Amino acid sequence: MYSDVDSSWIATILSFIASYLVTFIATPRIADFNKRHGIVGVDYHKLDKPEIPEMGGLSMLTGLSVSNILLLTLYPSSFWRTISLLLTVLSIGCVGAIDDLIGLNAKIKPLLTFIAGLVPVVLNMMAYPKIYEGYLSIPFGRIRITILYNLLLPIGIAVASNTMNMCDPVNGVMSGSSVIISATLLIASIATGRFYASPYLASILGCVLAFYIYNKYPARVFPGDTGTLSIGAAIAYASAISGLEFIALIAMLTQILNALFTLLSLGSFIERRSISERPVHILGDGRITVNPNPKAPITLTRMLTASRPMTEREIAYSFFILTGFSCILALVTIPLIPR
Amino acid sequence: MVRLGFFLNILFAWLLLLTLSYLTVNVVAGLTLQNGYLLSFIEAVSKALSVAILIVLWLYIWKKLSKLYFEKLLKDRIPASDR
Repeated sequence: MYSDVDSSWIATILSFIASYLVTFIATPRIADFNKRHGIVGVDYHKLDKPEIPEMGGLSMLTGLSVSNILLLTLYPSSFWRTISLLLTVLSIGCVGAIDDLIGLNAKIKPLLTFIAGLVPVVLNMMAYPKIYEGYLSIPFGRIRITILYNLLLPIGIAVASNTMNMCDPVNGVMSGSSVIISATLLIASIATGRFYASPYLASILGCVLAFYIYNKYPARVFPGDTGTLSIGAAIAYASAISGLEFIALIAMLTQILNALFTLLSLGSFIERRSISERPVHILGDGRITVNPNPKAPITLTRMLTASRPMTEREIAYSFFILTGFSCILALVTIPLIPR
Repeated sequence: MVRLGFFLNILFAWLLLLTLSYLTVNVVAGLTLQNGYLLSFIEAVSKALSVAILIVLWLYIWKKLSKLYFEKLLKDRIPASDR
């Protein structure tokens, strides 16, 4: 049904509106509920250390689910594609929710996200027609990796979700960066003629855009691991559906490099709650400055503040500018990707 | 200056990825052995290994250069009295 350009445009707009509205309405309600039930996190980058409702990412999951259920109802011919995205994101969301509520070991979390990433592989075995054929579109050509793709897909989902999870240092960074990345992928899907994938990317864009309104500085709600992991997984799997894996990789370079810096400086996966030295300190005037202790992890925020103390808003904008730069490179790469 | 460093870092990672995909498409994908179940299995494994080696090489070069630049940057920026 999506092969028809008009119906694809309608599906894209409908899924964006549904996802945006549901997330916009659900976020304050979920935040209130979580605050009443003690599901809160401390905003370390404020002088008065306020308690902010955590696990607000549930609203993005709700928005994504409603828009995908709408797509399922209106476009049953895309059943397998839609249901696989929905179930993958919900499975990763469950891993995030467990982590938010009881806390998971830093080594177990990537493993669980990998296992949840196997959902589309299993569904692809049952699906007719196949959700993906095992071709990887990279610059200069397409390579057929039928068997290997089944391993690379869950790895990609686990990497993207954990990368997003590691790149939420100050208010609004994860949601704002996701807006830029998903908008880039939506443009890429249209520019490369992969209209069938646009509704899924539009649903991601809708929910992160609505969530950003509440998550931007000063944050009224935190996404929690429920939000960061599931949005990373949604971006990864939607790019796999649309054959834009390489474009997504380039668009997420800022987040990936930040994760690599952190992992290389820590030496292994370590849960952020158990890191003794925070990468940055707060000055008396509320600005954020570098932690001079060499044991502190080397994160992008720490390096940005090494030049001069910055406000939380300045750090967030620096992240957006860097993500925007990666996304421009991703768009420049589009002509190199075979149709 | 720091932000410029990051721009260059991202640009460098992008160029390395493009080189990696060029090598994958034009060199690794060109590796062919004669027909036969065992030979095609060996062919697939060797292709996967070649790509894995290229990715490790990509990470190694990126890590070396980033370390060189950013560690020096952090050392220069943090006052000696704090170190």
